[in-house]
Amino acid sequence: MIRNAKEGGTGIEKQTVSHTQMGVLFFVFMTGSSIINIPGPLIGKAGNSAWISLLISGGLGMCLLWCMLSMNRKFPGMTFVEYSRKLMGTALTAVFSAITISFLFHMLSGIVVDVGLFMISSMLRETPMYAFTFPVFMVAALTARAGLEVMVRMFTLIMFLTAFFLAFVLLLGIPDYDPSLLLPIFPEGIKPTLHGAYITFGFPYVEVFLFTMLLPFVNKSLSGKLPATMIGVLILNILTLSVSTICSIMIYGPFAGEKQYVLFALARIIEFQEIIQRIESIIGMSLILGSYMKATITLFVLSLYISQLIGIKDYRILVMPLALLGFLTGLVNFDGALDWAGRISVVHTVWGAAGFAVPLIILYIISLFKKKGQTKEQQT
Amino acid sequence: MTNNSTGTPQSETNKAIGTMSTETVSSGQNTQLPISEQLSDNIEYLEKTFAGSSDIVFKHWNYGPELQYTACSVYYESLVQEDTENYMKITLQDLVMHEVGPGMEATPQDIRGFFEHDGVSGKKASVITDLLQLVDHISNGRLIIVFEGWNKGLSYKAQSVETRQVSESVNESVVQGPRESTVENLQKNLGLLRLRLKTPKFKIEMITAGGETKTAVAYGYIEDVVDKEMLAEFKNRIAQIADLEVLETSYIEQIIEDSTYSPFPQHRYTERTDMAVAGMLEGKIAVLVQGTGGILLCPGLFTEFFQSSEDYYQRTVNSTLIRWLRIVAFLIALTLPSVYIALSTFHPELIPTVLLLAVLNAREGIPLPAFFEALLMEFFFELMREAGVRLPRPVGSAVSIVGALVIGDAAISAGIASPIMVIVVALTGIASFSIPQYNIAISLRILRFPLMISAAVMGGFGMMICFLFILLHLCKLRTLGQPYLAPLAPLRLSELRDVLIRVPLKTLLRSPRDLHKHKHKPVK
Repeated sequence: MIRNAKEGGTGIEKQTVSHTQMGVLFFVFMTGSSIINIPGPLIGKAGNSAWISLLISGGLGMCLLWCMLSMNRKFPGMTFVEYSRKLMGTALTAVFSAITISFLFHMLSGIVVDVGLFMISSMLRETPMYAFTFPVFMVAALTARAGLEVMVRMFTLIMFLTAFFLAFVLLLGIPDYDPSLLLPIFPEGIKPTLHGAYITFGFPYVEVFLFTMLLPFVNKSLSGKLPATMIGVLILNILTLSVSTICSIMIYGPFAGEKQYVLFALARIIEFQEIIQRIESIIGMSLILGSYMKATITLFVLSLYISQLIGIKDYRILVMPLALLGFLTGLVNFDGALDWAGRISVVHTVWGAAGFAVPLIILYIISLFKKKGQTKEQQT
Repeated sequence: MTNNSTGTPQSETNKAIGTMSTETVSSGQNTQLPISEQLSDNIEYLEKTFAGSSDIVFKHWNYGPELQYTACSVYYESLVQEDTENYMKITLQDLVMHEVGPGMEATPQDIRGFFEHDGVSGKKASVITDLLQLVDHISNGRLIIVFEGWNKGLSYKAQSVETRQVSESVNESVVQGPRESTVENLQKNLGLLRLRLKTPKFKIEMITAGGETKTAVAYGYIEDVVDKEMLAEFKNRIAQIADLEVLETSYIEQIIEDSTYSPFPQHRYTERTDMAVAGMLEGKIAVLVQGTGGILLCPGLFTEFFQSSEDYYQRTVNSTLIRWLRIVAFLIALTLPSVYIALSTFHPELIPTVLLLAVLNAREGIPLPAFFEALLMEFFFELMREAGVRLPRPVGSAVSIVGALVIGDAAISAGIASPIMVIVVALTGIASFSIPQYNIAISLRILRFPLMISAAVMGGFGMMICFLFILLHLCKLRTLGQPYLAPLAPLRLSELRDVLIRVPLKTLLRSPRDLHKHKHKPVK
């Protein structure tokens, strides 16, 4: 208790995690909800070449990650807000942050709304959505308040559970797979593939940006291994998403795109000796768990971002109000599943790029020039 | 009264351990009250102090040439029951044997000279200079002799209250392994521990708790194995008990625990000395209290509540399988009623058709919804369990007979509960009994009900949210600074050898425990 109080009192500085734990957090964040939400819409747009779309957008995500890591190396121990202030000044940072924060909010409510949508569409049809989003926000807020260390501890356990569920479903599906459905790879040329890449860049790959706020928490003594871990995790994430997309295509072929939660539908097909059947609920659990973890991380980052921007020492004060705001946003913002899907596939990417990718790239370029300037000064 | 052995002389204990001096007896009483040279003054004071207790004995003696000198011995006859030895005579005989001539010639000066210069005496006597200390010694069951003309008193260890013999453990029985368990006598218990830990690194420190009971509280640990930071934290917390009346080890648990309102126990109990020693070898701190047999092992981590001492006396494969059985039992005890509620009310499609038909068939004609049915039966069960625990033993069996009828046959034939519900409740009960540590089974009893409610309200989703809350609490909880879920969260793979699988003893014992378990990496 005493140690806890110490941690709580001095705020976040004391909480550090190892590079593997940061990797776990990253994997959970990137894979958690997207593995259920992404394959369906993606196959709908890109068809059989969905996995190539993933590779393209994943590559772009990798570029962003590389920018982040090199910024983290240049400004060790500083979050995005802190080095943005240093490079651009407080005023410009605030201007850019308006978009960033708005997108973080959209993400936060979006992730939880996804859970509600899923529950309504596949399990409990009559229940109003807030009955699902409110508890999720509640747990997420409490977890975010508990701090990064607790989050990491908890998510490691949950990650193993969901990974096991997913592997279980995908492996049991083997008898039903038909590899010939994968061909032709480009049924309608390259354009749908690019469209798919566009969607998946917006969700989830532009979201790697959130870790600019988290990377400084990595234990200094181990941060040398951080870049390798993060890049490895991103590759693992791209592979996981691609594999589940390919598995979906191998089961449903061109119809996979018509199903919103294709993995859920896939699990429904699985039947093994009448002992294992109707196991779609474990996919549902994975979705809820994944979304919960992602929402927690987003909420944590959002609170941290705002608190650093306006100079509050302890982000914890903001967690509960922001969670409530996120919940209300979800209530107001959402007008039906169709509208939502449209928004995700069209606006999301542009918004995300403007809020996340653009400021990061601008800062990266500035830092390149500054560095040159500094070295010139040193030479003369 | 006779079994209450709270009165082991504190000073004796301390001498044996050598950590504190006799002064601790009078700790909390700062005023000094020197013993007078006038015997009558001292007697007057003592008679005033002990007025109203009929079991105090003042015995006056005359000795020396022509019996001209007087002395008086004071003791509680309830504590000094075996009044066979005459301590006055022993005192005089000491002089006879070693110093002066025949006992008839002993003078107060002789006695004074002999004891003040630490002459060798037949019975261990300590010299006391303070009246308050004198009172403490009498209260502790010692026999006091004061002499006319000497401003000091002699104190003999004479306590002879009958205590229980070391016997087989009742609460933690094993098929294989040592049978002995602790008793209500602190010295005996510490002796049992010392017998198993023959190293000077095994430290025992003593505290006296309370103003009235003056309970001796001892805590032991193995230096070099115990985590220094944790020990400091523990000492910090246990210092609070100095002015609290402590009657049982569980008082200490409640005073030093991190989270008072957590349903989970944060420290472990045992009454087996082998368990306590194994715990200390793993870096735990063992707390013992005079007058009770429970040993508190701090800190208790979540995974340790699934371990039983027999796990290490059996072969690896058996132990591992039994460990799994316990984990399954844990899950059943926690979730079975709520799973039944969630499946039968919200997700009937998840039950295989044949079973679903059986369930529906059984539930036909039951007036209550599944949730209330489960709640009612669980309530009956808890009621029966509580009644069974509290009742005197001869009546206890009546409860189980009546209870079996109520939650069994009668409930079904009366149409209150379905047979499946009875199975669910019974299985839950059996599962909760198969967890080796009683206090974590209680936390399951508590958590089962919120889970049932959330399952009734939101089905599987509600249960998941409830589980997330529990998991969050577990991840957040610390006990003496250690994460409660370690080594599961934070995940320390190298320490998982005694959690899901019990690795072969060769590996378990060979690898340096102290390095693994107690040089803590920065806690994550």
